[in-house]
Amino acid sequence: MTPLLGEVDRNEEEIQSRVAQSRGRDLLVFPELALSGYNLRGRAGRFALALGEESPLRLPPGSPAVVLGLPERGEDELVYNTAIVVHEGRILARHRKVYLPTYGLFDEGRYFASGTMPPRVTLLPCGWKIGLLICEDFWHPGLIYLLAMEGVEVVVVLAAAPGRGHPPEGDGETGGIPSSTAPGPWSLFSSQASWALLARTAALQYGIFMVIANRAGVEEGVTFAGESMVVAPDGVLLARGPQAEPAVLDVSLDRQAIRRARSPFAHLRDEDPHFLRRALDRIQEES
Amino acid sequence: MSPYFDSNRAFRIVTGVLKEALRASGRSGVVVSGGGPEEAILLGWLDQAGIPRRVPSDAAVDAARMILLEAGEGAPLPSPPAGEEVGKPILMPGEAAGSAHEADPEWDLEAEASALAGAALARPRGLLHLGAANKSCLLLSGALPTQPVLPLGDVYASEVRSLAGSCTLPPCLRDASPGTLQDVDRALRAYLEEGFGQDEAFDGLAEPLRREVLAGLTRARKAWHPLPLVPKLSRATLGLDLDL
Repeated sequence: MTPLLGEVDRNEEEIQSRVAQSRGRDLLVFPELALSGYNLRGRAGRFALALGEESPLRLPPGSPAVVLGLPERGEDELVYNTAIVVHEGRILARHRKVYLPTYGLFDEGRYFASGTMPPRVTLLPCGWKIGLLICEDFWHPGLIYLLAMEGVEVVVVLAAAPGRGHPPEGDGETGGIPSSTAPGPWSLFSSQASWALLARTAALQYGIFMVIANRAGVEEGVTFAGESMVVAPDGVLLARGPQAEPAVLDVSLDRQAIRRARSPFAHLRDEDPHFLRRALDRIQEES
Repeated sequence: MSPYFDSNRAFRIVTGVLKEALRASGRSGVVVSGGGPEEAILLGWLDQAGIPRRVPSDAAVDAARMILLEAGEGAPLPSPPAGEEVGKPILMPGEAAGSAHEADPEWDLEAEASALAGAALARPRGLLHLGAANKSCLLLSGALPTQPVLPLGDVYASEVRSLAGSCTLPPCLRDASPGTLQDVDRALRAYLEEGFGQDEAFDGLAEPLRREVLAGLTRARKAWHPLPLVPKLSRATLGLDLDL
């Protein structure tokens, strides 16, 4: 999707159109701040919606569950960068972005408040357990760890990742990462190779599906990289969108792939969060 | 730094940004000014992308040159020789070297005349005004372009040269060979983009080139003081903390 900055009505039209085309699917995922556009800066408060239990979007009956990014006016009157899951008129889950990038070309910490709650696993009506992360959250492995400890099956990452860096010479297509999909166009940016690497690593480590919905389009001088992707629990790239272009990835997930990926390995079984917590307590006491 | 420049990639990104800028601002086209091989590259890309574009006429540039030359006192100075790709230092009309108001030695009459004519074409028609400056010139010159949009502002001079066969050079590199230019661009990228320290990044440049390049960076740093500038008096000020 290519959200237009500050044009909520048009963005909602686009969302509704995509929802209508996705009947029969269980889940439809849109990028970070899809409703408003990304670089709101000081206007974030003007576009922020107060969320109750009802979905802010009127979706027709029979629509899939929809994951959507938007600016939220919290009950504390602070503005959050939020992802919600909506289904049949209700909000099933909400995640407020915890890690707000405030460096380089990013300035989110000036305009949004950090989420204070960790991401939690949500059971979708179709029976899958999903967890939500937003962009920079994905670069902090602790959050995926928390979801894995809670039994997540699919981590859904909403992103508005800009394209950065020249693609690696001689390997512009995959950034050195083999893909099981058909060859796509040459990479415009080197940054998406890192996203693919992190997603494949997380999928492998925990035996989970990773779904990354990254926006396309341009805001001011920044070109968003697109290249949404779906990674299987064995680390294989199931689908990948084109560079910097809007696209729909239509992917079926097989729960048996989770079982196969977790066997004969015992990484998840043997993971000990209590050990980790003791170690973290010690590090913090000593520092 | 690779001598190969992926023009398809640059074309796609630059024209994508320009198209969105036109859509978001409600403007119908662009004016290109500034001259040099960079202007030619831009015009080709704009035509290929189907973006309506205009350039100021020769007569308009001539008129702009006269305005610039006669804005102060004194007789007009001769124009720099045609075909020169390097910006020439020039004194303001009627001013002698060492005078209290000596002009910036990096001030380029031809580039300024083109920009002035371009602004006169763009502003009344609500067109977006594009300048042709490349990244090396922006990084090493104290003469900030007046055009508000610089589509090649993230393309190094050596990359322009690999694409077009020639490029506009910053004043401190007026005698630079292609190899030297590439070394300088590589050092700039190492220092400004890849996290290398100043000494490490510029270690490969011989004196006095190294000194000239660092002096150029200092001049550019001063030139890029945020503009437009609005002193803060109210709670929300344009350019500081008021986003429309």
